[in-house]
Amino acid sequence: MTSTINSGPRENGAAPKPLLEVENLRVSFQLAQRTIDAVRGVSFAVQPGEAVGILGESGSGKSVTGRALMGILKSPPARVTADRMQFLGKDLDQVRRERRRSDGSGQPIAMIFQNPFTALNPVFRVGNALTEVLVTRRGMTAAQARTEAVRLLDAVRIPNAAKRIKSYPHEFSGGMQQRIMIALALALNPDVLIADEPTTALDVTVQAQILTLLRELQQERQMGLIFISHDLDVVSEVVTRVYVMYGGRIVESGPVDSIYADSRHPYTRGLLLSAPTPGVHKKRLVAIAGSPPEAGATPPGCPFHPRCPHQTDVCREEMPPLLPAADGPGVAACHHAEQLPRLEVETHV
Amino acid sequence: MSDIDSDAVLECRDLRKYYRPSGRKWRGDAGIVRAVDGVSLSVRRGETLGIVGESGCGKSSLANAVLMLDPPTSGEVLFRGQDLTKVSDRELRKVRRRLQVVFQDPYASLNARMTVEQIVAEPLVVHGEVRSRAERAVRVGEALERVGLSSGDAARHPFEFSGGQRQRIGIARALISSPEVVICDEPVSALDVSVQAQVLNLLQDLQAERNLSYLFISHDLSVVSQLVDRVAVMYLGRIVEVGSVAEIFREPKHPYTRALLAAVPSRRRGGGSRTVLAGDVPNPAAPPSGCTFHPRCPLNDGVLCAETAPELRLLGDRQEAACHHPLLDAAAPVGVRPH
Amino acid sequence: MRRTDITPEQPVLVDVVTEPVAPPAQVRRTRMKLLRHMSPMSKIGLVVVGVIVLLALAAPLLAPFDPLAPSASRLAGPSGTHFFGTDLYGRDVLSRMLIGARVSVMVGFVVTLSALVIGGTLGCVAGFVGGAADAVVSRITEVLLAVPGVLLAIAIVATLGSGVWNVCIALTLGQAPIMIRVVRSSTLALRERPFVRAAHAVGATRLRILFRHIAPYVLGVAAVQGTFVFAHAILYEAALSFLGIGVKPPDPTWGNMISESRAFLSVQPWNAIFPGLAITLLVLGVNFLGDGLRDLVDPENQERS
Repeated sequence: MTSTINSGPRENGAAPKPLLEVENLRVSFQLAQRTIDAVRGVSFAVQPGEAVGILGESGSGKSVTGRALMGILKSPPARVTADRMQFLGKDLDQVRRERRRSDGSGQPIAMIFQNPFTALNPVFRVGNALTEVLVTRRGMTAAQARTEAVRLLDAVRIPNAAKRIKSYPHEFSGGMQQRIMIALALALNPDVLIADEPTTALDVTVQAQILTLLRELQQERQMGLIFISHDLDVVSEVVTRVYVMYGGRIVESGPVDSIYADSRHPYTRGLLLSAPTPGVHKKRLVAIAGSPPEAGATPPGCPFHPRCPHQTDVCREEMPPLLPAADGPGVAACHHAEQLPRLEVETHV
Repeated sequence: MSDIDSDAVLECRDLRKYYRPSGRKWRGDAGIVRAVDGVSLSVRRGETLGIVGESGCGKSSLANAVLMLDPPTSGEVLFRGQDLTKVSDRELRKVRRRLQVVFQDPYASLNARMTVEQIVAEPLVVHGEVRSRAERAVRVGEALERVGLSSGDAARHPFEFSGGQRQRIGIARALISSPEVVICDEPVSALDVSVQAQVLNLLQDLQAERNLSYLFISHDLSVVSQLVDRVAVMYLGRIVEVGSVAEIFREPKHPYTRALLAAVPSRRRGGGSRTVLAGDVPNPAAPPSGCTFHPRCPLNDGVLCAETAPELRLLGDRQEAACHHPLLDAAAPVGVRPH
Repeated sequence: MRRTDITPEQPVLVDVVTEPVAPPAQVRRTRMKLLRHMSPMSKIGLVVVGVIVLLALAAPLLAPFDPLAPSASRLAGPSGTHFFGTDLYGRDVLSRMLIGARVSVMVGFVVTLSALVIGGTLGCVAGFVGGAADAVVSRITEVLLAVPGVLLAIAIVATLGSGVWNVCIALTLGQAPIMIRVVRSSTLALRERPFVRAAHAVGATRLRILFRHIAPYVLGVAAVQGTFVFAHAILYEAALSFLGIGVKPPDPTWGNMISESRAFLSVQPWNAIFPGLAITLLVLGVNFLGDGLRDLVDPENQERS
């Protein structure tokens, strides 16, 4: 599976170790009456300095995937298994444990969430929230932590950082709170940042600021970035490669430009065709029928088949494997990927 | 302010909705939230007017004021020429048959304890339009079929349906009394992307069929441009620009509109840097003086912009913008302050 | 469902009319299933309360002896004939307890119903109408709530005189404010909910909104509060009777039975233990029942999306 995924540039004949490599991740939740399979065999990789996107709607398992990577799923009821979950070639859990024991090296992966206000403790001053992380996880002294906290707030472009260290979360706007959350994540000195719908709750002008910030930070620090979202426009602004998830599985992946130009999966194509474009007036949208399945309630065979206009018997019975496209850099999981005609992509408005 | 539009089926004139901070009445104006601060607009028959803006711009308050759910502080709401702010409760209820609304939250806008039939039939029951249960069932069945559900769904409860379907139920309820104007308050914002298109298509079809007028409120510029004929851009309770979709999206005259458009993520643009608008939306309880946009505006001249609030001026065919320095040259790149 | 015949050659995604979701994962709850969803503790509570109520209703038939007349030697312990023993006058404790149960249960129901009706109405009006009505009701409520429950009851009974009906009045006055508060806040919250605004937007009159949309939800909350009012009523009645200002002897009530047995606790503790246990059991049972009801009312009303 992983061999089909785009890896980074090869130098000297030696393949660079991916920053993060996940193979066959499965997450299920054991409830009283039933088991919910939220993630059903997902594999992906992130190269150093690369930004990848996970695109999916509700029930696709994208958020659960992010949380499983972070190791923050409560287990039980969650059960996380994977053939491989590696950070620079070493087992991810082991790396996390090692780093937790030593000082100074922070954590390999940090995460920011959708709603910054609920993620920040309202009774802690922002500076205290930061210094707490720096002292406990980076082994700094209080004085070092204070300096670093100001530096971090500066890095996320909060004006007057030295003064605002003393403010409480509610004294900031939504966009600023999200920056503080990014600062908190950066405090862990991560090599990979997972952003789970970080701009969904923000206004569009603030969103633009945050996306720009994330791009710049990622490039400055050569961090890996995993950007999880349901918004294909937002994703395309930030990442170079995208994984499309549906029903707990990856249904398509590849470079974001080529996927958007010529997707080989009916679901992705449906998303592309049904998303309205700013400025395009009263063109009838091509809609996908039905609704995305709830987590754990995916139909047998291909998870998309009930809504797919191309479905045939084989789609109902067999799960399609993720295979490279014949004439493109991506991979798609569709029994009829080859028969899909070229997508008519609109150019400018 | 534009001349009185005689074709207008729905009109607002200098509508204002102010909220006082709860508790004691403060002396003076400190802390008053000017949610809607002098809005005038008009919607013609069969036309769709879109209202866009970010949080705090007052678009939802505007919807509530127009619907008279939270009656406005001052100003007029004219429905077919009749001023709703001055009619009796009884008369207002009768007007509601013709002026309906689709709400944002498909989960909370339907009473969970009622059946779909009871929910959809409520306008009929309230206005005495049906005489028997059989007649009610028939009308509800028709309405459900028209929005893409089946008449058999009438006996079920809302929790049995997905978000998109619940929104259709809400639309069925809004349309069953044959209104002329429907206020759509972020009708697709709470829906999955793949479902949004279904509902937008439905709204479009219904409009064509019944010559409805829509007041379509959204924060999502792409969604708005899909459905509407004309767009009004709101900022801190005022309309800063209004015009046709083509005018607004291709030749925005107000710097805020331009910044808003620049900020919309687009897969066609590709990655790479892009100048973005700096700062945050100011606190509606303490708006800046003069033009409320001036602190963030790259065209701020420091004097006039800080002192005097600009009025909407006609700049195109039906395009108006409230700016002391409107961007009349569409081709010139805008020096939006990079961030 | 309309759908054209699509073959893999046809690329267009047709705008297909959606079909209803498959039978929901969430099973539709009927009233019978509600009972099954109650927690074990609340079922126990229901049973305990039910048994006591039944016993109270059938008390005249069940009582083996005359509760007011002596029937054996005084202060006897539990025996074959007198299961709970006899009191200081030689009266059968079991019979007195059964008759005393009638008082407790009756006071409980009367006070609860009165509090529900008065408190429910006032709370609803205050929350829904707001303005001056709300201000008046809220201030009165606050005054009444400022006084601790037992003291308020004592004060009122002292003014009105003792006896079971005055006790009911006193306790209603003490419990209604709590009900008003609960109903009022519930109404206030519901008033702003989108489906209520939708009803308003559709043209429903305020009365219709109140009865059709708000009341069903408020009733659940009020019922839960009602169980706690019941528990309080029983407890306070016992307290008042214990103090000698509620129901006076020789009419038995659990409270005054304990009071009468105070002087002889060292000689015959069972005289106090049985009524005390009965009060405890009934109050606990009502509380468990209330907890169970509350668990039913709250999550049932939340939407499961």
